[in-house]
Amino acid sequence: MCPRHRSSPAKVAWPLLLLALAACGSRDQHIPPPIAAADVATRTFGDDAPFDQACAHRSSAQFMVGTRTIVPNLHWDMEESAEPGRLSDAHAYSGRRSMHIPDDMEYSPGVCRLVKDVADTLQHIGTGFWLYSEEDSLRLTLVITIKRGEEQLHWFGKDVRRDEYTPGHWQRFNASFPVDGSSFTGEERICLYLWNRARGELFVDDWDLVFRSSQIPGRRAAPGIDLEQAAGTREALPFVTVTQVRAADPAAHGIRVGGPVLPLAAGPVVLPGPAGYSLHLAEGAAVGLLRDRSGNTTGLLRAWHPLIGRDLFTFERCHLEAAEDGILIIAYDVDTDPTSGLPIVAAGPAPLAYVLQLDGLP
Amino acid sequence: MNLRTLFGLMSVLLFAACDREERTDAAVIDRVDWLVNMSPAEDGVLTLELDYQDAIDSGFVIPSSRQAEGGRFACRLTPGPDAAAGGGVRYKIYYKNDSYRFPHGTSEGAQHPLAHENFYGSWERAAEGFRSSGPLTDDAVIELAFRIHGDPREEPQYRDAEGRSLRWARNPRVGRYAFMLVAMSEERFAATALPEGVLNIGTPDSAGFIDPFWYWKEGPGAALPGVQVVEAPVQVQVRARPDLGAGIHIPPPAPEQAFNATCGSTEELRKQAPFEQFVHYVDPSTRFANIPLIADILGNEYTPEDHDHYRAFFPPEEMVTLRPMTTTTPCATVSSDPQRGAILLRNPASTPGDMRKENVGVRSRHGLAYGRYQVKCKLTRLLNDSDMWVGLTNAIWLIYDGAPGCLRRPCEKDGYLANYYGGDGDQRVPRVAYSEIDFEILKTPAYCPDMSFPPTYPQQLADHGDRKAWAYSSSDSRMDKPGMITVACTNWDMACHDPEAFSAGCHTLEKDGRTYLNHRWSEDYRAVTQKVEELDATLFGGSHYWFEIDWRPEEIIWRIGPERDQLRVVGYMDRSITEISNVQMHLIVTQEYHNTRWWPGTPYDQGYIPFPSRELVGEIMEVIIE
Repeated sequence: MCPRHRSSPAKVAWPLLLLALAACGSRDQHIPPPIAAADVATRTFGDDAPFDQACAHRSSAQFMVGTRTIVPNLHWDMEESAEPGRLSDAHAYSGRRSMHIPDDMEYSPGVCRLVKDVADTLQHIGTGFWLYSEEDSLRLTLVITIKRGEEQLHWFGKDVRRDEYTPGHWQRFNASFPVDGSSFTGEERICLYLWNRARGELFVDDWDLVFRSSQIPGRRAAPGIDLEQAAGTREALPFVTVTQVRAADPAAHGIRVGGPVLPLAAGPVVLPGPAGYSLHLAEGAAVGLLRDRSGNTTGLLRAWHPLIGRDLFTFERCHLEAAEDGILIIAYDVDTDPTSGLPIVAAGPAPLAYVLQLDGLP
Repeated sequence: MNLRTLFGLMSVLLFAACDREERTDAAVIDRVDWLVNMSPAEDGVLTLELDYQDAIDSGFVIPSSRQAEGGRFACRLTPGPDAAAGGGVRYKIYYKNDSYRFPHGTSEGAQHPLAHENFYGSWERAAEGFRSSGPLTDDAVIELAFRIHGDPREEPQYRDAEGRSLRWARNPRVGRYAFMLVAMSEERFAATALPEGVLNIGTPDSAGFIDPFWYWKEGPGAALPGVQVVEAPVQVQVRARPDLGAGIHIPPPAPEQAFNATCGSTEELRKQAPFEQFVHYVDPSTRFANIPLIADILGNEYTPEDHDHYRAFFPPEEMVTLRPMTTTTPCATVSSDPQRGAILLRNPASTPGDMRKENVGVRSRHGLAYGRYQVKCKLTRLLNDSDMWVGLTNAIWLIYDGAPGCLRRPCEKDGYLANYYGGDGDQRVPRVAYSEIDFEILKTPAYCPDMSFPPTYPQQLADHGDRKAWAYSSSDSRMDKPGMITVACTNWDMACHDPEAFSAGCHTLEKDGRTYLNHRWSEDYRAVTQKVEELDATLFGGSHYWFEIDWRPEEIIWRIGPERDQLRVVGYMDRSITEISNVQMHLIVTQEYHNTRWWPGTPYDQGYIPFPSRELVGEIMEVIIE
């Protein structure tokens, strides 16, 4: 289920719906979880109903590769559509509705994408949804096709096996299809749909579609350090130890929930002490790099301590300042102000600020 | 149909056609006093534990010289009236393991095609046939003594280079033993042409060994007139209870820096220690790149969010590549505690400059075929409070002992895949030694039903500004439940296609009203697995837990439970879906690091799980095999 804003009547209707289901003696004993309120909306990609309203919460991640925008993860909670008739409130795995495939429909509505819009180098396609049917003779195949122009390059199918399916119960259906996308031009068209071979009445909810690249888009590839080769390779950089932390108030440094974010730091921060080490934290880096006066990287910093209980560098924005007794890190996530469109300090996770004292500087 | 089956079938038809002469048990023996030097319980069952002293060389003997005078069961026969008249008595004692055996015969009356695998024996020397009492006086009493020992048929494949029998290569099985005396008069014996394979149990005929319990009770011997067959009302229950405090042996040569009084290569430990340190074979395919971070995961120093973040953003050039390690100083990571009768496993902590994910385990030294292997242990926790996995697989498993002559029964259809690490293109051979039955407990999803696998984890994006973009194990797609780990039960059948319901993919097996989901990746995959989810806190968070592999000739049952008398079944397989090994195996308990590529769908990537900053300690408290 995709959490979203709901009007209050929907919340009021929920217990009524439960009562109605009970009164009707529904064979579906699955009780959908109630809809949680969260500030998340749908996202449209121009797909046919009911895939026209993807869940933004789980479909928003995207990445630029050159001029292409890659959106590899899609999720439909089947709650909203420009064609409400494609949805049904007779059964729902979560929320109130699911996609309805009537018993006279052999091919379900589907989703199509160009390879260049979903992956860097496509490696496989994963998909999954919740399925409900009361048909004893269900014959259902999930189909994925890949075409270049009119030429069909691939046809993948995965059947719901009768012996694995229990009529009248919500069940998860997942599938994964490996693809060698190394020879793709990017213009290949991937389409996904259900083939309702026995023309049974089906209900489908919470559909995930994932296009997996051979590498994590945006992550560099580089050889690591071979621990088993004694000579000729670098030694692993040590992590320095965070010996103590001192909590600070983010607000005292201008970081307040809903308030403006700090400008990105321009450069490294020199640590106190005679050695003159500096800490470099590139935007988005998982670890800080400690460099000596000569600019040699001599250690790694993980901004973690038991008293903090989490790694400050997992926050979307980290502002570093030198402090008398260490290094001050103000960490926070960034949201977009719905009215101004400007970046603001997110409420969750709450901003944190700590002074880290380091030991064992290499 | 083999010759033995044909012979049995013909015998049955012949007996039926000739209005078969019923055997009238001759009164050559009036009375048998069984096990007169032992004290069975009121129910007639004598319980004995395997005596490990010297068994590494001699194999197990039942009873040992510490359990009975002379190390033999003594019996006393009182001849009956037909004995003296017949010129004396010819007699032969037989024993058999009744707990772990195939049926003696088929419904057609033939010897069961696998009955020759049953563990049975007779006199100390296989070639000794029927003993003779000689002429008897009226008050004569016949004393006899025997023992149960390994390689009772003295088969040629279980011999060393000098031709000596390696009794330990086919040790007596645990479980219940039954006894049978066959007797006849000298006169009758002279008039009866017994097959050589009956006189000498170590002599196979053209169809193989003759199971004497089939021959005398269901086969041709059952119809021989003047033969008296006496089954003992007493039985012996044998179980193994290795003393975990008796030390750990290290096979030489080995570095001795960490040797101590209870772990090392001394002759005393060689003779008495029931376990040795297990040193894994680490295949090159297990190589992986790892973050160089050292952290206390069980101390909540690392979370699924950290894993996902490092997986997306850690500088790849700072990763370190390695294979899981094995000990360089035997005895440093395993120890035997004589006071508590326990064995400790310690996966070592890493230090800067010495980062290691080191596998640790112990392996029993005495091979046994079949049995209920029960292990009481407290192995290390696998998950921390945030559900982050330490990367270890806790494993309790059996592996073939490699004894000379120990090969699995022939795979008739197209053979076994020859090698454990052979790949799909491996050659097929009629027989292999490799056998393995596992409990492997780790963080991984169930593979079955097929429709629900694999989980739809999102594609990570290295977009630091969007927490959802790099979420992986912390995404909404996780299908497993918090705090749960997976107990994987596996039988390695080396892809033998003989079982009638052999299959790839997910297939069900019904047993006692329960459905078990079996998974095999392909027709040429060497193992079949079942999985159940259990709470990490339950299995490894308490004072101990019991794990049992119940390995039987025709089925394997995996059970777990908080106490030995509260075990529940978590896995079940039978010969209809997988070939069950018949070769002796050793018990192994390990805490080991696997490359997570072995476990598709696992939410965590071994490479982004830190090196341990603390020892990860497991304790084996008790082992019972019965």
